[in-house]
Amino acid sequence: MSPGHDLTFHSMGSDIRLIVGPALLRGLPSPADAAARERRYIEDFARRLSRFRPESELCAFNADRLREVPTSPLLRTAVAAGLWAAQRSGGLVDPTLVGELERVGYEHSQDGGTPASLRAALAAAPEPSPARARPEARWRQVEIDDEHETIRRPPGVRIDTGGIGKGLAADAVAHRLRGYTRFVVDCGGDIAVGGVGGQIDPFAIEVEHPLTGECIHTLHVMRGGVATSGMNVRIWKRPDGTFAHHLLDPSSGEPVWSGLIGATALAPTALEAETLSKLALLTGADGARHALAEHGGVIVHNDGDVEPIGAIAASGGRGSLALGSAA
Amino acid sequence: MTTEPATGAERSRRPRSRAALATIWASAALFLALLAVMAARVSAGQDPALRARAAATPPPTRRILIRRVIEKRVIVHLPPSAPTPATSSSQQLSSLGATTFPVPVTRTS
Repeated sequence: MSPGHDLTFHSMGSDIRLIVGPALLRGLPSPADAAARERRYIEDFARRLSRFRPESELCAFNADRLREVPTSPLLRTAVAAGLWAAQRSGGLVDPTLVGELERVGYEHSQDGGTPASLRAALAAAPEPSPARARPEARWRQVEIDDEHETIRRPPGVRIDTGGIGKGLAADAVAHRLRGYTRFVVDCGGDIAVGGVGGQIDPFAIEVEHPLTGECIHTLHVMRGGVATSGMNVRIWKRPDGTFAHHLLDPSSGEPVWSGLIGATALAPTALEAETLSKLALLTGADGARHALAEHGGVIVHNDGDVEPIGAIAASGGRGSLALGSAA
Repeated sequence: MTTEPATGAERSRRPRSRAALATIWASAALFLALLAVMAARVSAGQDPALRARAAATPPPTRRILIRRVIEKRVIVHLPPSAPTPATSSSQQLSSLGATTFPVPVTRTS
């Protein structure tokens, strides 16, 4: 009998990887069956919440001209996660920037495309400047009504679950795998780990450098979430010759050039790690040091320099980090 | 209207009531003086009653708490080739720690 199962597949515009250890209780599906079941869950999640599939529930919601729209529990949860991230980041991780994303050229999925050169983009980038929240904070006008199973927002306000959706999916699958001795749920770099096995032998997670692809740090995590945000994958050249990427300054609606090209965050959940890594990248080095101080993280400056922060810097990369329960 | 001269008994009663009054006043003064002295001593923390009680209280006995630390170790012997059921406790324990799969990588997606 296999001691565990390792499954990799493509969904949500990214590589998804599930590592499932043996079941803790008799009667649970085998690790292989559990991984296959969670694959179906993630694929359904992606199908229903994709901004790039016209038939998705998210697209139908965004196109609806009514102020109050009946929605499924999954969509309400995803939108709630986006609003939570906005609240947690002081409005910098804003899920309502769909129009702005389309205006800078991110109208269609870039899955499978070749990204532009990050080095060339940095050479042409303006002076580093941290992002700022929108004063009017559109996301505050979105209301979730679980009692009536609806979402209310001014017509025309659209939602992008984006990276937050990956963190949420990782946490959801981690919760569903809580009956297994150890598990890793990697949704395109947003990782949730858990199970009692992590207490004995913490999970080693490598952090990849956005310029060189080398491992710049190995994190040892007992349980919790890890996420990385960077501008090296979803980056393109606009028709006017300028470069753009998908991480926008909410105040201007333009791509942010904060002086950082990558940020990895640890947190009790993958959703929070995803939020913190985006917040760190948007606010530049000073903001990142503040955002990542509590749980730890790693930032990569424009020149490629790597800077560990918080618990990671304190442990010198040798300690094991317990970040709360991922399950 | 006529007045009668005072009898001998009445004459002797007046000095006696004056002496009783003086005794009462003297007693009251003495009582107040003693009370003032006692109050001063108590307020100065010299209450003789408390001192006597404190002296009479035996010193508390020292309690010694003995803690016994019991360490349990589970030693798992794996058979070299015989497969064990997926839900057996021995295999669960053996697979809790070690990871044989490639290390996960967090990267921009």
